[in-house]
Amino acid sequence: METVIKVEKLYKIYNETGVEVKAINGIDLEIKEGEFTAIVGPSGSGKTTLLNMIGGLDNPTSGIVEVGGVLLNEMSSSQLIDFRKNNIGFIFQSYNLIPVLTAKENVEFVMQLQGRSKKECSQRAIELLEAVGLGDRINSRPAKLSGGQQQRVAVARALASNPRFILADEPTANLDSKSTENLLDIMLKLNQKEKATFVFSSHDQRVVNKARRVIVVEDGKIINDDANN
Amino acid sequence: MIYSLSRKNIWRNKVRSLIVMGSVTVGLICGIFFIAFMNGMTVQRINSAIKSEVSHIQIHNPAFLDDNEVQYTIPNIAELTNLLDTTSTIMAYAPRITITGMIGSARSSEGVKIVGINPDKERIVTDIHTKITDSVPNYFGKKRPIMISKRLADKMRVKLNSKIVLTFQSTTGELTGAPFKVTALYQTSNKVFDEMMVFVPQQKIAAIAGLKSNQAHEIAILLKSDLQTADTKENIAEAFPNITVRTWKKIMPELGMMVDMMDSMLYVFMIIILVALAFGIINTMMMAVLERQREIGMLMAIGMNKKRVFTMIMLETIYISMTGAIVGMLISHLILSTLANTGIDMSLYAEGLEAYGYDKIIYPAIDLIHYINISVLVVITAIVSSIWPARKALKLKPAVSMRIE
Repeated sequence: METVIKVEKLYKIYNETGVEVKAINGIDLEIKEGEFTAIVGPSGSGKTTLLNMIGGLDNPTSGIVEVGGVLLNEMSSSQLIDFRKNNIGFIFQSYNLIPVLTAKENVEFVMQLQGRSKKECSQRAIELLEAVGLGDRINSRPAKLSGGQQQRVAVARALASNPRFILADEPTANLDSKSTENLLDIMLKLNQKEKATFVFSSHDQRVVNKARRVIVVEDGKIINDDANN
Repeated sequence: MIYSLSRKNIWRNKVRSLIVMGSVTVGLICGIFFIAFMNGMTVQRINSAIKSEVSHIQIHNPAFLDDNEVQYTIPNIAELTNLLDTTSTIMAYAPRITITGMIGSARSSEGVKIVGINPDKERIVTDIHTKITDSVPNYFGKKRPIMISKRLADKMRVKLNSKIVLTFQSTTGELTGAPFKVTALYQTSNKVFDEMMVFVPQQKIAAIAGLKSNQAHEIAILLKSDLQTADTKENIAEAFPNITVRTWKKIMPELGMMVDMMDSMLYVFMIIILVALAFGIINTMMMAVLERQREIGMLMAIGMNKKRVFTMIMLETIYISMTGAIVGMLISHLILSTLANTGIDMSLYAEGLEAYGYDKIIYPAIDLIHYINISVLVVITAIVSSIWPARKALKLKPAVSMRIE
């Protein structure tokens, strides 16, 4: 399998309050296409920061982030926005759906940003919502959906743009065990079907159990990686 | 997509959006009402000045305007009237004799402008006959009839059928005069006009002043449209360079200036209202952006570029402002439609208004172009008001703003 995410000598140092905090302290990492990888670790270990930098949401202090053969460090913020739009699907801890749009509209939105036709957006949105088991709730607004349902809409949205990479930050943190189980099954199924590379952060053991590769991060460093074992 | 999202976004916080829309609505109602009121007052004053006082164009002998002497009548009047008869933009014209003199009754005397008119022609050019409040039958068919204002009659303590004496200089420079009988009383909304102008038949005053019956000091011209005033004036002046042709704006420069300034003044007033409203709009949109930092961060994370974020915030501002503006304009239109028929009774200030030639009943009037211009101003205000909140949104960093709880 081809390496699609490559991180070399990555550092992220915050110095906002005058105190230097090394959120990422020299990480080297490679992820191959189609992997279903979990980055785990305690709160404050640097999982989210690492994920943000892989997703082009944050700039490293030093080091290289190469995603899909593209060096994110060298891209302007506008180029990064375009890159994310066409290559990365995000799933956030607190779902982050647009409250004034229905489930279907939320999924369509990201495709409309890509400039796809209305018909195509509508068809794919329905298809994805059915795939995550929400075929009967396509016209419901987020407020009318449970946490688990909202996160499933977020998964459908993340996949809508046919991204090569799905980055999920603590996707199950706000879900009960049944919803977590359900969501992970869906993500695994879609990982196989859509052939996207899944990278998610979590400190949930249930998530870790489902992952094919687990990377343990602590104090901004990788302390264990299944791939190396 | 952005349009639909922006439209839906404005109803997230209904109360806040409604308050801003309400303030735009109230602001516009006040602004439009003021514009309509001032515009109505100006239009009435101009119409009254044109119809009752000066007409669109007046022609004089230049020497008459300088010295006001009786002998300075309009030269080549026969050729001139031939031209006026054949000019298509002219609805009607009325030659007049105007002499400054004295009017005396048994109790008092006053300085007046004696206007010798041809009643039939004058009837078409001015509406002074419609201002008659009291008259004897066939009031200009008497031996020496005179029409004075009710105000002047009261001042001189005369009434219908009272005898008064007009005294003035004849063409030979001698003082002359003759008794007249008050056969009609008129009243306009212009106090100064009323106290100054007295009307007598042209032929009668011509004979007393030593003028021929076809001579005149002044020709008042009523046009089919005010828009033709400048061109018609130029044509006449070009054909007869030895006479003075003046438009109503030149004759009453204060009115001309008022018309020229009114539009600018009204828009300055409207802009002041909109600037005040802009602060409320900026405040609301800034709150909307700050409340949605997390969501805006998410939108940027999933690929919404800065141009689209800016457009979204700007459209929300325009929607809120324009909704308020449209409601404001509709309510204003309803109010003004009613008031355009009933008028606004300003009797309390009648004396002051009439001293400046204004009616005590004001009929607010506003043209469609004003509504269009106000809409454009509202859109501009909304766009300008959205810049700060939108810039705030653009400065958000997705990774940081999505951490905000």
